[in-house]
Amino acid sequence: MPGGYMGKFLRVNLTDGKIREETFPEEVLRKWIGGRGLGVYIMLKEVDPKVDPLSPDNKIIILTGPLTGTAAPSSGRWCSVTKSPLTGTIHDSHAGGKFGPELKFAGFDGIIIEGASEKPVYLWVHDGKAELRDAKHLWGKDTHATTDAIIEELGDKDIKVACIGPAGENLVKFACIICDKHRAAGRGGHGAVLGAKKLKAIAVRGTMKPRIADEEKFRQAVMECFQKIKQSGVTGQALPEYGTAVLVNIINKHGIFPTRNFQTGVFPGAEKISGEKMKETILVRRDPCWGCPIACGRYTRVPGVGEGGGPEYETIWAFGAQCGVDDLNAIAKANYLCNELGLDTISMGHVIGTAMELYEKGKIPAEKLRGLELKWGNPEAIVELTWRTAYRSGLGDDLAEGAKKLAEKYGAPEVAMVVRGQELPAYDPRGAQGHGLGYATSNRGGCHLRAYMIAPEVLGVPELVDRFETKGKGKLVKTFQDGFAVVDSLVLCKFVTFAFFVDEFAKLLAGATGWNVTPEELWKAGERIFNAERVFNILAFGDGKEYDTLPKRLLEEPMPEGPAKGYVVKLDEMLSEYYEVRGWKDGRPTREKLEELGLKELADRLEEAGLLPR
Amino acid sequence: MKVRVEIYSLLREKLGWKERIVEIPGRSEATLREVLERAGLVDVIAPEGRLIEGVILLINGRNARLEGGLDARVHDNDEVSVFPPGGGG
Repeated sequence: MPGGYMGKFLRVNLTDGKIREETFPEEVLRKWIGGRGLGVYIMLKEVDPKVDPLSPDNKIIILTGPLTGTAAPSSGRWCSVTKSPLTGTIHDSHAGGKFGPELKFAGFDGIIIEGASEKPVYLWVHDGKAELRDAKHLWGKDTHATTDAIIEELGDKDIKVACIGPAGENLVKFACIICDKHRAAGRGGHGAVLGAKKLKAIAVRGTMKPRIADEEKFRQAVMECFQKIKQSGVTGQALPEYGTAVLVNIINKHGIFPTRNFQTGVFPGAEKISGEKMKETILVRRDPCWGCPIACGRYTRVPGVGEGGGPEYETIWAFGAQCGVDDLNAIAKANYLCNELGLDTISMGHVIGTAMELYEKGKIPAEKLRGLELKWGNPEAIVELTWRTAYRSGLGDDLAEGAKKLAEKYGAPEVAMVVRGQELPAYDPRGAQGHGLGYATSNRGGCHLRAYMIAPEVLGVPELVDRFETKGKGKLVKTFQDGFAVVDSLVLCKFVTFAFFVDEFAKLLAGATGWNVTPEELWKAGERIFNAERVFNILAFGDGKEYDTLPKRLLEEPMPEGPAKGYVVKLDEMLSEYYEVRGWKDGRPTREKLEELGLKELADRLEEAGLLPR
Repeated sequence: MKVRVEIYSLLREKLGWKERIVEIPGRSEATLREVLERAGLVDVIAPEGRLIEGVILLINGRNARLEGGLDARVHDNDEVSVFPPGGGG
């Protein structure tokens, strides 16, 4: 067994209650690495891409990577891989905190969860052992109460817990998994998948450690990476001092801070909800994930209202500018609620904004509102609707289905700012063309992190490119998508990429595993993983070029004001270059490309289904 | 000419102000360097004459690095925004 990995995975069948141990051959680990990559490998092997995501036949896989729980910086993360009930695509969702390393210390690299339990249960994994326990007394509890109850029941305050809240139990389509009370595997409704399986929580505790194959080589690589993190202005100063909220003023001044459901890109109230404002008012302290020198996490408190982790930049946007709200206290409250109830803050805030535009257009009947004023800027509305959504109460039942279904139900589908059913996050691509291409071609629906093009187009990292230009963006997006697939499979935090990238990953991985892995091998693995995900979606939907698109508003309605005034996303111009560098035809990988990546079986599968491009 | 200069995050903490108006009488345009000199910023963001990596300089929301950096032209009533390196998700 190579170093870094614990060499054991759990397979938990919730239908018959059996728990087995498994390993993967070394060549599989080398090909798919771990985390997101190993997840897509397992999903393609074991799950019909057309499966109903909330049925017992879907699987959900909790995964770490070979660097998780080692001295590698920002390696305190884990991910969940499943077929999303929100998008219907393959979907991976990532979280920080402390849960990931603890799972490895408990002796396991990952947990494959299949079937469904008749009664609520939770999984307890500790020092090489695993058991399912009754969770009847936990069902209905929010994530904080669940975590406290489990810790008390099992009698060890160092137990780490990942769990769902009422939102997951009620199958809200963007319900999330919360770990360590304040961290979220946020997007894509993984919480609903667990809810449908009646798996309330996973508790982990252990005293083992991953073995490092070449201690000296690893140590050198780790030191180099720590140095780079310290030297970067982003990871060494901005993120530790302000957290991700430092982006509020930056993005607003670029005129791409989506306001009132992407109706414009400039929000007059931005200063009031900025990172600078947070530091002056509600910030209590930094809150780092396990093993992270960046420490971007925030812990905040609103006196008389609540306290907890966050809010992050995306959350501030979703409950703030997206809803026209400039009240930081209300945004913080909505944020704490999302963590307690188990809701993705991005989708939750975004969908409230969708509802506000529907209300503005007179589409929502008065009786549905039960007296709630769904006006832009109403700070009560963002808190009230968060509660209602978690419990599917009244209008909340409609919000719980996501922006796309909500807008369709109330007769204005064009108002849904989604890609493949997932709500777009905090950057208007009309002022960042490459970022728009990233949104459109994401394998998991509207997502800013598959290819965080804001880094080159706005922040100038690794170097500045013209955000209004379309040439060269296809190539750049592919580079980011492939590289970030590697990040997500090692399971490192993406923020290290402000300081270092694939060259350093290769050194870390080589030292930990003992493999003579090169950057080229990792780039190829990233490309392989991205293509495999695309194949899953093609098998699920018959995907082609028509899926790589954006809401009409972004393609046809010019930005009305600000520095990006007059622009739309010139998607078609970028797509042809993108498909060319990817080696795809009409949005689908060719047999030639798949075989080049060692994916002949996937080419065969596509051919059998008549879905290989001609 | 009058130009509004706004600074953010760590720059605010370091210098103790958020925005100021820079006046250059008798001129309708100037270089970014001239404006930032008068705002007391050049030494902070470009010590030894070289712009610190990652510093974001905007003129009316457009990145000045694409228009000549410190040699970019600034006009009457323009808004200049200066950000230390920033990032997130």
